[in-house]
Amino acid sequence: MAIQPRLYAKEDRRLGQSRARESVDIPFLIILLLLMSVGLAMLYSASSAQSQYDTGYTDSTKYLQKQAVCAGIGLVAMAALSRIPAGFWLKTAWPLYGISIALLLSVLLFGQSVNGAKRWINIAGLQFQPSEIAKFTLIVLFSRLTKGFGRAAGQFRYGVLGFGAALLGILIPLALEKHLSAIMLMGMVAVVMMYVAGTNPRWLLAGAALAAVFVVVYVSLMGYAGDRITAWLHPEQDPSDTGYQILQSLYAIGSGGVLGLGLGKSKQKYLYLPFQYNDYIFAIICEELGLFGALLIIVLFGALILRGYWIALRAPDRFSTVLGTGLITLIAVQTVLNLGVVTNLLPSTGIALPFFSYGGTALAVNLGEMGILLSISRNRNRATQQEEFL
Amino acid sequence: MLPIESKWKGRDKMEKGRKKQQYVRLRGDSGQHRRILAVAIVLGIAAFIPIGLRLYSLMVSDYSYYANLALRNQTRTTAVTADRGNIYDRNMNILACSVSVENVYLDPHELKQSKADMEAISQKLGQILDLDPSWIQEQGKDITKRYKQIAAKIDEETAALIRAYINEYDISGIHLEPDTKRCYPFGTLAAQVIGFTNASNTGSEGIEAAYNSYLEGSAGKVITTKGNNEMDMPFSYEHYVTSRQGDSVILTVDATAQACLEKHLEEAIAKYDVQNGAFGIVMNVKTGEILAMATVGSYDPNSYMEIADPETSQQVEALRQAYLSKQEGTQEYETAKKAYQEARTAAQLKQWRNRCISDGYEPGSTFKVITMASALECGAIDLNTHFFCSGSERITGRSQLLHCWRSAGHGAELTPQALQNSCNIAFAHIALKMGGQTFYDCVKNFGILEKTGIDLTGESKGVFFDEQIVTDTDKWGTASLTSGSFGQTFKITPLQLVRGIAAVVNGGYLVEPYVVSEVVDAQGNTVLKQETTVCRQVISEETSKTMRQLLQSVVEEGTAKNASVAGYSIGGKTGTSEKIDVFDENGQRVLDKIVSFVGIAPMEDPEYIVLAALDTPSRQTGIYISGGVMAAPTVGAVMEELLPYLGVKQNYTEEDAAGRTVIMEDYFGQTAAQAQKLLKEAGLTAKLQGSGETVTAQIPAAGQSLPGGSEVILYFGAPAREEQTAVPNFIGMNRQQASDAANKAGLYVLVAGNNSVDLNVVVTEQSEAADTQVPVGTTVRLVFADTKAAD
Repeated sequence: MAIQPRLYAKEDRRLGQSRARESVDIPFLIILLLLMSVGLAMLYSASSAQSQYDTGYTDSTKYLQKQAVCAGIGLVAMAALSRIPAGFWLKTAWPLYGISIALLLSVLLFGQSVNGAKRWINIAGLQFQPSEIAKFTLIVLFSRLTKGFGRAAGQFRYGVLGFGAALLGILIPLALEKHLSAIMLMGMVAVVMMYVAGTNPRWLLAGAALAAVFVVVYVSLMGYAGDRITAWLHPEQDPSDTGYQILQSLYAIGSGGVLGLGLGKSKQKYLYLPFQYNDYIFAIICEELGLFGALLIIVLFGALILRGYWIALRAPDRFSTVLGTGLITLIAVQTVLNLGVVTNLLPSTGIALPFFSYGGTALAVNLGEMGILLSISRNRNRATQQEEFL
Repeated sequence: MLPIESKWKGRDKMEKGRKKQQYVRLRGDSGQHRRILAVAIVLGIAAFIPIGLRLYSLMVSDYSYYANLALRNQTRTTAVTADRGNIYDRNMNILACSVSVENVYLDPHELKQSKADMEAISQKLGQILDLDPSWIQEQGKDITKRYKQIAAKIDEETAALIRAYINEYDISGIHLEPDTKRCYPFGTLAAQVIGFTNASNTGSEGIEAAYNSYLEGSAGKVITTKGNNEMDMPFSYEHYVTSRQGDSVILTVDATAQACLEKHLEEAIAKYDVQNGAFGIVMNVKTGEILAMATVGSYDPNSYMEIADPETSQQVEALRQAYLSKQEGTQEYETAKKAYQEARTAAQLKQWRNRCISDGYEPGSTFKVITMASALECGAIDLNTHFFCSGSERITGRSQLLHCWRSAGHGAELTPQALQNSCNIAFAHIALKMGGQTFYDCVKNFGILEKTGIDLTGESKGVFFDEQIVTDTDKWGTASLTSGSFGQTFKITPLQLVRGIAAVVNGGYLVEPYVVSEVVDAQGNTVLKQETTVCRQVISEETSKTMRQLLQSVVEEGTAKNASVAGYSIGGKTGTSEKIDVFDENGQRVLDKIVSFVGIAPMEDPEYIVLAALDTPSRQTGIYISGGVMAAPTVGAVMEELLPYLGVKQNYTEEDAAGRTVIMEDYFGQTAAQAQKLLKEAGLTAKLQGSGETVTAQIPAAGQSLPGGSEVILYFGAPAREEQTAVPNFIGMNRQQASDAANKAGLYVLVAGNNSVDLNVVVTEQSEAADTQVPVGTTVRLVFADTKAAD
């Protein structure tokens, strides 16, 4: 593995030598790798039936293979990015923003349709979703802006209009793609980052209300608002069609019980639960590992998120702090939304569970982003060291 | 990258010296710090709490609810249908069996999912199944449904066409499922006895209904856990409930006897222009086994919904056209539609009805057998009791004048003549002699007030008088008692009558009739065996013997001469009853008649009883409407055919010899002595022609039937006469005239029907039409009947 976490090299300190690169945050790394490994294992379990079905009972690892390759790419990216100082992103924020918008627009022109939505683009034979890059770009740009605005973020002009304009630049092409889940996700991450930057929470609340109104109007214009809401509140009314997905998810979760059916022994994954290996993978986890295993995974996510914020808080500069906050917030929001949908606390949105759901781009990008967080944690470590030295 | 790196390094160097660092400065922005902490608590802890609680409620509180639903979701129950058992006649001819067919259904949900071209599919299916394509398209529209049957019970050939179509275009959403269809190889034969099964293969009428629990077997099922799309699951289980094949039912009914009875009833319907169908029963008098039970006009259980009677069918069709021509949705339309549906249902119920057990009718004079047997048994009369019939008589306690069927009266009679003449006045007196209570008790004893207990569904017990009305003559008068004595003003089922008369002749034992002799399972093991059940002895052997003689005398000397069959001793009783409860549109009694005859053979030791009843023969034919003229020859014809088939030994009297049938053998090449010896044994005489050594030709040819005692011609070298002769018109000739005419034309005569040499007994039918040219020596079969025979 590219990362060689080194514990505080006591001999180094004794020698009074300071290395250019301090070690990354080990607890965070461990939790992350644990989640990723469990994620891959569960992806294999959840996708095996579908894989067999798709390959005519010859291969149960079709999805695992692709995901593992992307995990590998993600780990390399993570290692590489963990070595790039956060300051690098400060400079690249605007170019990245330009590239992202260009990519999003190009999707509209040359994109590929998957399941009726144009969200994918093919570059040099690699298929990926530009919206994944856009999410990262948004976080980087907001961090850049936060640093630039400084205490002026409290003013409407900067804290609302400034951030808002930057946000719209990305949300408008996404709206043209009808990529509602990405818009929602980015909107939420943006709100959190603006709050952290110091935008007045009242404006954020007003903005959120506005967004809610917009969503309601948008959804009703799309014509499936009623269906979606009914399917959410009363899935049993149409168990074979609109309520099918969520009912199957609840069957899977509920039948897991306290200890689950055992690893690999899910029954719902045999094509009953659609998207059992991506958006709804957590339902299969509940079925196989039970409440016990599900809570363990939630605790791991909680620990990762808390440790992520801890890293952000300890970052050496304002830009790094906000960047770290944004990155871990992205993971946190995705996790919470996904679990909320799978357990039918929230209406269906189409947001994947980080490190678990099938999706190569998302996994690689997420790991890469965690690499940046790790990079930030290096500076923190040094600071801690210095604090100790005081 | 380089500049950043170098800056980084530079900062490191700076920090080496001064131990002030950015971290401390950053802490100064306590507002941001606080906000990040808040976000961390919300997104890292708080947000997971509702999720955790929700998981607890789903996986712990509601565990069993969801586990159950999941199990139901994942298990498939596949029914394993049991083959319905066959129905056999007593000789193991298959009367009903099941054949494999298929049902076609659409899965509209799947059709929509697969974006199938419903237009094209409807066209093609409509063409294959002969259905309206727009109707099929309509069925495919309801996408909330997963099952829409569009065709039921189609044959394998049609199913193959659909399967080929599905495969050719790889359509998902059209499915075929196996089903079975009941098949009745004999069609209308014994339809009301056998019954039929409805669309869901459950017996609806007759044996199919009565023995449904045996025939249907029990369906098994396989419960498996399966993945969706029939995907196999490694952690699945299978649970089998084995099916039990239906048992087969073997009837006492004999298809040949049944066909014979139905054929002769149909012939009678045609001959006498019978308006309202006919029914008949053949039963073994000792065992109660039903050999045949017919209701004519019948229907074809293979297509039981269709109205079989052409006239009724036309009327129903006219009503259908009438409602279809109306504007849909209007009051008129609804009324017309209802009228059509009611007419159709009524017609169906009528044709499915087994009149022999379900419908009461007035037995008329046939009931006199039971009255007389009862009276003899209780000693109210003996064979020498005197009666006098003046044609009509006023009877105490009866307001209406009592008429005998013969208005001239029968004069002085003894008991046997009373029965032979079927004299109503004599029977009224017999009933009066018995007294109401005795009469009622006897009738009850004969099972007239109860169902016979036959193993068929839908049996009724007719309508007899309330006890008081017959017994309390002081209060109610004698009208019911006297009318009841000769079978009027009450109704019983044909089977009740047959059972009662069987008891009269079989030594006095009332038996329980039955149609199923045995039920066997699929492996051939006997599941149920029915044997004769004797309910009780109702009259003594002695009385029974007397009654046998009396009944034989009715055929030999009385009203039923037309029922006689050469070679057999037949007994029986005629009946002509008026339907007093049928009114025309003006409220007048129509006085439609049911003519009937109950015949028994052989009288030395009765084995079979045959009832034939014709409902409402038309007055248009000019034939005198009576049981003796119409029903007796029908039963005679049935017996003539049936008794030899059933192996009842013929017993020719000298008188009968002429009626005995001999089959001509081939005598070619035999000497005169040999041939004459053989001919004598066969009961024939020979006239020899020519002078050769051996027979070179003979008249009639070998294999021809001819009456016993006839003279045949054997040629010894001389050329045979190869002449043609014209068949005379025998109709209306009596025995002597017919015999003379036949001799003159060089024909042989076989006598059938009434074989008494009475001037009233004349030819009513001849096997070769008049004036046709036939070879000399041909046998002509002549049916004789007494055209004046009444009642």
